[in-house]
Amino acid sequence: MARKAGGLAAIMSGQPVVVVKKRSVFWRLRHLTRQGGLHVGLILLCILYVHFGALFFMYSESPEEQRILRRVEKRYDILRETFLENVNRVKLEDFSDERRVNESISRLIDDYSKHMFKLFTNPVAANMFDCLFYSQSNYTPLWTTDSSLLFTATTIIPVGYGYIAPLTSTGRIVLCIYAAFGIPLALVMMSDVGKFFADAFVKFFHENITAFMVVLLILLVAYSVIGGIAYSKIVGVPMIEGVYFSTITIFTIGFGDITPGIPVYVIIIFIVFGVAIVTIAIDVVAANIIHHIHYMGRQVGRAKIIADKMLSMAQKISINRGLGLGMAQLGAFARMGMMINVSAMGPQDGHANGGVGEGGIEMSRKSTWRSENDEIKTRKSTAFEPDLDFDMIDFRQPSGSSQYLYGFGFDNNAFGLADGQSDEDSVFM
Amino acid sequence: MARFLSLHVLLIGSVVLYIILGAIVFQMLEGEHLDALKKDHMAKIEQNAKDYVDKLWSVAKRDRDKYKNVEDLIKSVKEDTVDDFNDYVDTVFYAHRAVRHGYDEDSPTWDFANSVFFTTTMLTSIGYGYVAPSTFGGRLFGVIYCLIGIPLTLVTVANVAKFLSETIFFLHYELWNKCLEWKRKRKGEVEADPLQPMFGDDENEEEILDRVRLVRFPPLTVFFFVFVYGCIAAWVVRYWETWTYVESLYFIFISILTVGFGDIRPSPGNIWVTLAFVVVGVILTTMCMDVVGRMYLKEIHYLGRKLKSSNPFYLLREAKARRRRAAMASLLAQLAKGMIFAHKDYNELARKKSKRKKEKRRGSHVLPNEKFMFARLPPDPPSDCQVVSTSAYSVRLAWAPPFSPDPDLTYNIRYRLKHNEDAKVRELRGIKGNTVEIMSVDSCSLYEFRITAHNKFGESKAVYLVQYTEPQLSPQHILATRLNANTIELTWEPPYKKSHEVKNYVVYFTENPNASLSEWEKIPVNGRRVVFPDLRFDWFYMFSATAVFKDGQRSPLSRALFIKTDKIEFHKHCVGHSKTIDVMDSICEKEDNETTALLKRDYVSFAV
Repeated sequence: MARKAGGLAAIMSGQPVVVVKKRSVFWRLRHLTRQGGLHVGLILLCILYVHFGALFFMYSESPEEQRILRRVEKRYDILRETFLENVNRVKLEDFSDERRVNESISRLIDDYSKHMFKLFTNPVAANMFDCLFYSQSNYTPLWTTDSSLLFTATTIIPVGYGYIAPLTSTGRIVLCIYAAFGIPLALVMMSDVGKFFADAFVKFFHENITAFMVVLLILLVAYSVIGGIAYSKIVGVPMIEGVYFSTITIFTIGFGDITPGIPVYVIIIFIVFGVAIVTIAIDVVAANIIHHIHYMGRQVGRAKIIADKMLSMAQKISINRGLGLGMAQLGAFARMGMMINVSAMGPQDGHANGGVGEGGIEMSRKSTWRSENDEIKTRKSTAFEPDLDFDMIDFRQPSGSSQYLYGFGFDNNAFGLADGQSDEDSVFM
Repeated sequence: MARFLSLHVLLIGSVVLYIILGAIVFQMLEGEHLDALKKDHMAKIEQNAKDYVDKLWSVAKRDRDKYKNVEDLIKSVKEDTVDDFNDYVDTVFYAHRAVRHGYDEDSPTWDFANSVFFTTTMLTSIGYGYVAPSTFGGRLFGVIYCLIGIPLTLVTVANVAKFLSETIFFLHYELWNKCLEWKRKRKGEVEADPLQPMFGDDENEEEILDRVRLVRFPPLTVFFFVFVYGCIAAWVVRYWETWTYVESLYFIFISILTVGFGDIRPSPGNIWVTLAFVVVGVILTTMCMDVVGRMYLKEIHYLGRKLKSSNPFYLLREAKARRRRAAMASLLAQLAKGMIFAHKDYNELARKKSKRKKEKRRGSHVLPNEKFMFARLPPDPPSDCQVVSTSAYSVRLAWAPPFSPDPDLTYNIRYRLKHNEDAKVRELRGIKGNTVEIMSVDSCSLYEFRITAHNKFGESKAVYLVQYTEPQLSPQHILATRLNANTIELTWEPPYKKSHEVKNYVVYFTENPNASLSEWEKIPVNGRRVVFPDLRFDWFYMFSATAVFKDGQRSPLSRALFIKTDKIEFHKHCVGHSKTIDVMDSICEKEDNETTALLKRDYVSFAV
């Protein structure tokens, strides 16, 4: 109370208000937490979305995979037995005629190859033969935890390798909905994270957009090439294959012709940062280009009219609100002055034997002024009244009005006075 | 109009040409290799089949005499030739894995249609993978082709999508206006004149802000439109295929969302129709991202931070919120003042304060010598800090010296633009004396000054002053002084601009705080000084001045001065004398000469 009483004394004596600012560490931490809370929440939401999607598709597609596997195994056995019996029967029955035997067996082999190729178009059958071919008949399911996670991650970052894909109607419909909601979420998250880096880079380059664009393109090419070289070193393939795979990946093309031999989380992190770099690069570079291209040939004069209206409106807002706030404060001060006035007259009446005479107590309520010629006039007896109309801005001549637009800008002066008033008000709280 | 469209057509044409040229190059690089690869695998299959048949023949010939029954002979021959058969099956599977979709009855080849399909889905980053480059040249060309082509394609697609979004926005705005007019007609209101300007000159800020409403584009409309497009495209595309509707819907949505798994493949006759639907769908999806993602991404990114935007609508909305905050602040200030007046006894507070000081002093053990501790403290903050006057390009500050154990006191002032968070902070150090004039500030700007006292033991706490500078054409350095208890003298300097010659000045003043500005009293003044005698005692007055030029124009109003008259007059040697009056008397001259400077000659002046 004493401090605020001091503030009141300053106001009552007519001085401007003294403001002492103080910000604690707790306030700064709370401010940062409120700032970063949404962004961290967005990233966590993306991570949860990917993991829950992976769990759903794994539990939805595994039973279908098991059923298809059993059916394919049975069909393969039947096909094999039938082929072998037919071949042997033809050969032994027509043993004497060798030319006819060769023709029959060739036709049987062609039919068998066609059936096998048709069988291989089923991804479960292809996976079964893949395990027979490489893993010596130790079957690994298509929908494991890692493969499901890679599947959902490359779906919402729309890479789409196609190593595995849903086979049931339910899985396919759910995947359409999942992708329709997940792709905007992932792109917003990556753009949001990338925009922080873009802001940092812009400040680092001192608001030089051209240098930032060049550095961003170089970073994009370097990320692709370095990622490709690292991949080729780890997996042991030619460098062109690694660079090709990383480029096809971070541009979200994803042919799926090369199977990565590295852990799933590593490749997901590589994809996320790569696609974020591509998104920010295209957002910064292409946004400038498309802005120039799209609005070329449009009407520019109309925009100037709108801008002039905005300027005059902002100027009016600035002047009106400044005086308006001043009036509100004057009302408060006047009430305070009246209270002091009443309390001051009390003791005066009590002192019957005061040294001040009766004439001193009277307060003159007239308000007059004196000009340079020292001629005293009262307001009531003044016959002279100047015919000057008050207005905030003199718009009598259109050429003159441009002189009074003091470069009011939207970022600088339009609402600056309100800040001062707000800060002066904050002394009392 | 021709110039307006030619660049867009040129951009689309260049993308189409880029796609066709890429298709031709990929066809040359990869076509022969694919055919050779398929022939090689078919040759291997035939070789293994021939080996199997030969093995079968030799085993059958050798074991013919051992078995009488044909069934038993078949069984033994089968067992002996299992390894060769498995080699044959492995060769077939390896051929299938090496060339994807390569042995269907309508297998994809690198003809022109498939090449165009491949390059288009590559540049729109769908990437089915029906065919993919496998040679060194094809892959190297693919990498370079993507790095150049994908930004070009995305710029073109975004350009077309922007046209679509603007068209839909325009239609939505027209429909919204029609709905408003229809509602107004139904309520029977009189229609407004369309020729009226949006904002009148005599309207105040509240009416303007209440009228401006932001029209937010509904995002669900765009999503619904793309969803309906996907359903229709799925129904049309399956006309040529043997897919079910769910498969077709799955294929279309996975394509237009640019995921592109490649597990379902259109037939060769349906490639062009599918390509057309997919490309238009990708454009619509890009429109969704452009409209909704950009709008909300900006808000998400700047949540919790100050909005740095030059968009007028954001400024209007921010102004509305700031006005609301200012009203709440002034309301709380009035409440606080009411609470302060409830404590009428200030002596108790002083006594409580002194008690706490004594207890603190008695409990000190580290510094037993009071004089030692007393002599080594940093100074108090400067007292009675005030802005004496301002002009367009300078501000005059004054303060009273604070208490300090060391008599060598200097002052530091830091100042910056108040409204700009990134404004440069400037600093004046080593100021001796109690007055300073800071030059080279901007006109019509709000500045914040931070004043600290400094001695060899440390620096005091800061005192902040906030002040707004004058316009250039207004009277400068307006100063209001009290000559006695109820007499106020107003003095100023002429405006900075010399292009207009000043005829006289008009001074506005009021004693009624609730009066609007048009109700203020105004008097013309010749010269730069005016005295207001016989004012009301113990009252608040407000003054403002403007210059009248010889061509009849007038300058904008100066900053309003706010001053309070004293109570009933006493002689100075009888009552307590305020430090403020001492500072004001030491600054101001009493002479009537207009050419005399307002400040004394020994004031400190810095030009930064």
